[in-house]
Amino acid sequence: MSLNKPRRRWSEFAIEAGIRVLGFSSIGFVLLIFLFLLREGLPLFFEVPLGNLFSTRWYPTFDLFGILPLTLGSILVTITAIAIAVPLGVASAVFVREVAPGWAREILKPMIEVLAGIPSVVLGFFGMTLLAPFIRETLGVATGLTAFTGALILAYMALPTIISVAEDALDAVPKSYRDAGLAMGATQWQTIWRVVVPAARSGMVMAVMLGMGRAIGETMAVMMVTGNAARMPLTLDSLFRPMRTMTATIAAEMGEVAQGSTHYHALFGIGIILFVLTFIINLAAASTIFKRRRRGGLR
Amino acid sequence: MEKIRTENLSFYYGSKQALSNISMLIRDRQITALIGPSGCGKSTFLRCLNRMNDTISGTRAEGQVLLDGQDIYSSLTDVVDLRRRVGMVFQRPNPFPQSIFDNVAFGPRVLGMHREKSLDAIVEQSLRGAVLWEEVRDNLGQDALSLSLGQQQRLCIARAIAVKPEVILMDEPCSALDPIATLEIEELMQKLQENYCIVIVTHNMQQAARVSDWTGFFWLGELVEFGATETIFTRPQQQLTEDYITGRAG
Repeated sequence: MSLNKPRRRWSEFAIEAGIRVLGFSSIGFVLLIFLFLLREGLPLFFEVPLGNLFSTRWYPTFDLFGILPLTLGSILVTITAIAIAVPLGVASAVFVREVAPGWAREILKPMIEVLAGIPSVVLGFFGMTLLAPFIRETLGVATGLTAFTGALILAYMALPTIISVAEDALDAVPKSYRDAGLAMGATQWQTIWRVVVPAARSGMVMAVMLGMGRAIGETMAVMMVTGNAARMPLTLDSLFRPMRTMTATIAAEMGEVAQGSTHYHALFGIGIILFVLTFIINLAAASTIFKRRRRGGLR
Repeated sequence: MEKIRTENLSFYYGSKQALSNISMLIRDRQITALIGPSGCGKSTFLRCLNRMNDTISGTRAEGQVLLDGQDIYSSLTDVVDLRRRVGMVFQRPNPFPQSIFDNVAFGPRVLGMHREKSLDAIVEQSLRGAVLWEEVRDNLGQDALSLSLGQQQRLCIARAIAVKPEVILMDEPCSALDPIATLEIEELMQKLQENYCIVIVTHNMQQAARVSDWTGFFWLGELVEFGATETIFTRPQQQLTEDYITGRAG
């Protein structure tokens, strides 16, 4: 018996090295994309005075690059969408996991997964042809292409994510908590609401964050139904007026912009802001997961 | 005094019969222990007494369980109220991942008891009742999961007695605990016996002999023998009981 390294270690080494290269390269690509975004977008902050940048008018033809209406537009649509989607999503998750009989759960779960697979352009088309006229007629507004229409479509898109993540969180709550609640004379509803849902809180927060990430980054459907008017959503009725998001601006204008121009840099600058917002949301989601792992313990 | 009586109670998980024709009389302010090997039906029987088995689908009970003479399996019974009157402590301590205070206050809150008496008073009284007050009085806001297992189990007992039940069912309450914590729970049971009817399932025959007044011996879903603990452990009527107690069977 010799203790020399056997020959096959070489193939092990080669495979390991290959996997390592692939793993690091995916990180590398993300980094390169980010650097590209910075290279194309950062010049904006030198070419355009901050006063212009943070003004309220986006009119690139006249060198007006106010990003506030776009940023506020995105935030308004996202928050409204989440405000609609979270109660619905959490309630659906509670229904699917806690209330629905076994056979109904078996049908509902795959159907919810299918919802997530509907292409956003299809939803946009649906919103344009059915939802927008419906909103125009029922609310009596000038056009059906409003921030609210976009929020409804986005809420619908965020729902499957919220439901399935929230459902997983409820599923992870041990049966012993439910038993303890019921055994004390709490009704099923009291047990769900005061024991199970709070115990699944971190997963619920994550569900909301992921839904939000989905909503803020969505482009096509929003572009098709929000009317794309870059106006400041400051008045109370803004929700029922046309509005434009950051994503829609990039998608709509990127095709006709001269490469290297200030306008071009401005679109990438918007991309940077979007990236930062999404990053913050993901970070918040990740920190709740981290907290949950750390608590671990008896679960 | 009679508190619970079962008459010809049979229980099924789907088509599998887990209990057959159990008739037993459980007396108030006494401790009744249920012993027997794993899978003999003693936990199933215990969970029939507050209808916790209802939460498992495909199960069915036959016969009667009378609580103060009223059949709890009748269609008139409000299961929620039944479980308020018949509390339960589980095998593994299962406090909610909330503060100590919120754990104990859970029941009183959902039942609206705090409208009559302040929540603080109920929580203190319950924690004192479970001999946990002195250890946690300054840390009521602390996460319940940070307590030791023995303390967690006493917290679960405090949580159960906070809703003022009449009966406390304990399903192997010490099986997850170390000997010292076990001793503390046993002492606590002796104390609780003054005010409550207690039914305990245990694997540990010494525990049954130490704490209980009455003992029922289960074997393969049947109640082989039931009687005063002293009689069961010194002069059992059935050969099977004697074999089990002396370690020759089971």
